[in-house]
Amino acid sequence: MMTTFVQPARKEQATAMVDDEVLLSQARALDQEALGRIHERYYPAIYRYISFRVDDLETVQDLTSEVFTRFLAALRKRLGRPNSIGPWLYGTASRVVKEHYRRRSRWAEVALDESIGVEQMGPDEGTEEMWTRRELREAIQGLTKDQRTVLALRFGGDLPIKEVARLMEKNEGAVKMLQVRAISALARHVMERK
Amino acid sequence: VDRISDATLLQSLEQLESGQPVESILHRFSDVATRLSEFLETTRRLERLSAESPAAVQQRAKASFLAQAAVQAERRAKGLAWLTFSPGWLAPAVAVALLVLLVGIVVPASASAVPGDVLYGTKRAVEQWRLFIAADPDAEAELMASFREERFDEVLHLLSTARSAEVSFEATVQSMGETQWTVGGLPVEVDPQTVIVGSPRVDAEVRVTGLTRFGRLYADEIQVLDDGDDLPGVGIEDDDGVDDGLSDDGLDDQLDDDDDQEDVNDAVDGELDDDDLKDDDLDDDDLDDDDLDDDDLDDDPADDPAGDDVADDDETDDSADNAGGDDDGSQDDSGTGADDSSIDGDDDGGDDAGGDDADGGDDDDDDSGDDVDDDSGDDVDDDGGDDND
Repeated sequence: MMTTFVQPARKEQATAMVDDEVLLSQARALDQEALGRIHERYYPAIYRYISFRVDDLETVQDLTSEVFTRFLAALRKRLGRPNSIGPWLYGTASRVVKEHYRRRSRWAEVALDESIGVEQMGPDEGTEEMWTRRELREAIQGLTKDQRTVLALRFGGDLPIKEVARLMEKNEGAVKMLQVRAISALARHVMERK
Repeated sequence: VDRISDATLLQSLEQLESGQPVESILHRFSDVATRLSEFLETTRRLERLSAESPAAVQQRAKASFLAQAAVQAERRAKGLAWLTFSPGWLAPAVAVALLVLLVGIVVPASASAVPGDVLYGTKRAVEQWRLFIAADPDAEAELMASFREERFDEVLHLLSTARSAEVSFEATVQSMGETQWTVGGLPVEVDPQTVIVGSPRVDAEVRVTGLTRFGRLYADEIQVLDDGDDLPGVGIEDDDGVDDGLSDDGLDDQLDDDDDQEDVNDAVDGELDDDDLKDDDLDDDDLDDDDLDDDDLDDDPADDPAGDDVADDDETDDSADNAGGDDDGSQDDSGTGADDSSIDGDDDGGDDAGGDDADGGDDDDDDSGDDVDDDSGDDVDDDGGDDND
């Protein structure tokens, strides 16, 4: 059994929290309070994690809610119930984002219209900021999958190197190197664009 | 960035994360400051890429999450838990129920769809299905007639609601003016761009393909269906009917293309190597030229005695193709079309790129997802899939 659990954000690590394992067993009984705490604890992190990969904030909202709905649905299963909270939620978030992109690319293929299938930013985003963000996300798509995963967990999930290493089953040194290589590649990309 | 050592990058990143200001880090590594600043700036941008969830959004999401949980708890308490511990037969049962829903709700709902509606494709597909399962030729003919009326009614509806859509319908010509014909009682705008196929006359049965806009119908093409003095033989009428029913707007265009393409193919077969056909994009110029050649041949069979081998070949191909009928032609065409698109490659390239992107994203997710899965066991896969179902 695991003894450590993913903390959603570094700043919250210091806070004494009920252990995830206890929360999870209460959640299985559909205890409202436990579920509420899980939601409070992880919603911001999962939202941030998804928003790292997806432009449109409304979509981010929907996908985040989808992750929690799936968590709820998974709890009622006899077999294959989540036996962790953080890793389960991040894993499902990844899957939900993947499904979103697959749907979108299929839709874009069918529509054959460039304007469809391209994410829209929120109305309050400045145009320039919007383009830098989109450009950066596109550049991230050009990285290797490990590099992308490290960035998404580090900057999207706001997880410490140690947690990223555990989730990716790599040692911390390798994760640090992946991160450096990924940022270097992006920086190079930005410089080439200039 | 390339010229900075990994050690420097690692160090500077750690310093940045420990909260040191960029300036002091750059100062420390002043020999590579310019490139390092780009690296650190990119890191900063990555940190800003994610969005924080607004408190109100989170509150709403939580409320809805807890409400879902409450419903689930209630269901469990009511002893409906057997539904959640889904036995193996439940998923197929749900699938069948969904199918029944689809057939029972979507199909009837599509009946009133007109071109441009989401369900219009469903409507046409259902029509094709009904034709396919028609018991006998009489029933089929009856269906054809009713579909023909349906097309006409759709146009009426589009015109009366001033909606814009591409339409195609069949009716009888009642009058033929300079810029306006009356077909089946409907005014049809005709301009020099309108393609007239066959020799139309009053009382001729025609298929009008065009666009409705602002309550008017602009014809792109008017095709005479009962052209010539052929006796109304049953076979011929049936053929016509089948073609009409099976072809939608797009197909009509393709049929025309087929003719052009045949001409091109004929000419090309005679004059060019197969390789040329494959490698070369068929320019409009080529196409025109080929058409001209063909016309010449058709007009002047006397060319043959002149002993032109190429012309001979063409002539033979032509007649063979004509004898072969439209089916051959359209097959050839679709084959050629497919080749063209894969060789031209623009579309394919785009698709591939898009696919790669998507795949890349997938891989990424897969990877992290798998890792996470390993931690939490196989749960994630099962759960995700079942929930969707």
